[in-house]
Amino acid sequence: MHTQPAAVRLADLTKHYGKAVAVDRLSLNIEPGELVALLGPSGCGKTTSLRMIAVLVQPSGGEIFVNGASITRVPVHKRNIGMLFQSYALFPHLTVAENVIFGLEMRGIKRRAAGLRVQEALDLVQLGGHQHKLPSQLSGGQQQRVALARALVIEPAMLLLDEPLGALDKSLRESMQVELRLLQRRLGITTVMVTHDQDEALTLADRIVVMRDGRLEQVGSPAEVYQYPATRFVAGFLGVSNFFQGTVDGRTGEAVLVRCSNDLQLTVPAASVPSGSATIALRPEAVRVGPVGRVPPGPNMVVATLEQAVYRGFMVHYYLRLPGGEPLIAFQQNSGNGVVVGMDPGQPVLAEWDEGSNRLVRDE
Amino acid sequence: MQSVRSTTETMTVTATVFSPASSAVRATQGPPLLSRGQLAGILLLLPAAGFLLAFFLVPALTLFAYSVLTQRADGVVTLPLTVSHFQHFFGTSLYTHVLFSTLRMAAVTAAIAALLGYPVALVMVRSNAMVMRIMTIVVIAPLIVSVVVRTYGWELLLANTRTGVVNWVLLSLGIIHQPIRILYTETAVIIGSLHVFFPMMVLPLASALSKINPQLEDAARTLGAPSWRVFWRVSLPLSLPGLAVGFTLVFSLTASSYVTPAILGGTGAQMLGNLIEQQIAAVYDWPFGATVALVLVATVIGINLASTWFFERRNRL
Repeated sequence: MHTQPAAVRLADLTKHYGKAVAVDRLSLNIEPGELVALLGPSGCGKTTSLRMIAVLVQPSGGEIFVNGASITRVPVHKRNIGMLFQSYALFPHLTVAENVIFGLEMRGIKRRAAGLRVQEALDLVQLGGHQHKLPSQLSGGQQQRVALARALVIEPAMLLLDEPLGALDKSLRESMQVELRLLQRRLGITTVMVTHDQDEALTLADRIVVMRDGRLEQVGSPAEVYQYPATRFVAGFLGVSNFFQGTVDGRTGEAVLVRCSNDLQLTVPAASVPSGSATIALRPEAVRVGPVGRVPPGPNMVVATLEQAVYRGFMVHYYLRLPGGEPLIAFQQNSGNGVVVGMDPGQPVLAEWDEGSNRLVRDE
Repeated sequence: MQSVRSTTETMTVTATVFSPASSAVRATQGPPLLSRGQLAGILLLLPAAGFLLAFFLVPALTLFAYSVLTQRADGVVTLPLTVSHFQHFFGTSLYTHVLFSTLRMAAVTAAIAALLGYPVALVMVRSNAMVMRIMTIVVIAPLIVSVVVRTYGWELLLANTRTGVVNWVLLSLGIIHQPIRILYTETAVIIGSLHVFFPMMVLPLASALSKINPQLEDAARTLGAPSWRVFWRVSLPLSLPGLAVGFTLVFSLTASSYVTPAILGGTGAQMLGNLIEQQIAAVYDWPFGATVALVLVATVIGINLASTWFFERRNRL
């Protein structure tokens, strides 16, 4: 496989279905060899976007550029695209080898040369000995690997993955994720993946594009998007977040002071002072839970009622209730030294966290 | 065809129930021979099976028995056994000619129905529910009109005189200068049969095409296949079971039709059905009529089995 990594640019890509807007002016630069994951709940337009890149769906507006040249009006069978589908989409009446050779036949490549490339592609996905089997004789994981070989053998400019591992069970999915990632890195092939599974996006992607209602919500590396969610939606969709509503009440040093209900004060590091109300997101793993030793004098701490502590192995999940009735979730790692910190449900506990864990998010 | 098949199934069920093997199981073990569900199934089948036995199977077997019996001068069909009717049939070029033209008209009708049916079925399965429903109604509409009325309609359209609608149109447009002969030819019979039996092709094709995962066609397109190759390499091979059903139905129904060739074929395009009618109703030669009927049924079943075997083998490759 000698793939030439391609740079892909989406410019104001739009799709209308009648009056409904499936994708609304999606713009994105994808670096050569990068793996980008389109992430979002169902109906957010991620699959439509992918199908527009593949031209299985004609865009209503906007352009797609590959290495600077527009391919928007190139018909699908003339684009050099490898695509993986959730249902594998292997041709059930053709053998493994016939499935893989299909794209080469369509390109008029001589049987002999094509046969060698098929062998090479099947070896790449470790299915060398299965050429003459029918897809129905293979397991789900093997079928998806055949689909991968079929997509890669044509040496595509980019690889499109439509929920590729969604039909596999959990453990197989995790090993396939690792395998897919290694292969993608090795071949350096520009890849766009659609998924609704945040773990899959975090594990596989160089960059995550979070989509909502047809629009791009946030783009960034997995760590950026997880650590610095720009909106309440992203903070809630990717992982778990606690949210606080409050009013901005001036500055304290480098931070902005936000006054929430029930005397809870939060300080948020921020360059500019927003006015009026503010929404703050806080990750549960940032919250420390302990016995009430003293009355909280400062910001970013609160005495709450422990409603439930769920032991999850290396983690304990604490479900707290604030004096105003709002829930607060805290994840705390177990130390591993065998000591279990006993805190009884119904007791007041002190929850505190660092100023740096508070994130000011847009709330729309 | 359909009734023959269901009768055979009923017979198989009955045979299984009373097989000695299952009675042996009953003698050695406690569990009952039949579960309540199986018993209920048999009871539910009995009335229909009895009806078919009395009014279809027995008469059909009697008729077939006639084909090897002798008809006395007073008209009674009786022993001795003879194969002379079959020798007469296969020894007379007129009769073998009718046999082959029957099979040819049936095969051509089924082939044209397949060629015309695929595009219609493809559009049907790709349309929304509303369009699909309307198309289904349009496709099955010919079945609602009586076959006799419909065939007389075709007679008016295809008439060989200047007043025949097709001839009149062609003459008016200056395409032809003398009326052409369509009625009382095989072409007329094929057109008439196509009109009636077209739904028998389209509906199984549409059903088979709708079962194909649309992602397969997407995959073929992303792999570089233009639309016609997607059809040729993916949709067509995967819809062969539907084609087999449609071909079998149209072929069998056309081969065994009587009204259409009687009205549109005249003496120019006779089919076996008309031959049977002549032998039994006009000549009163029951044994020979039975012989022709047996030849027709056996040939049609043989060809259907062969085509089903062919399609299924192709499908497994």
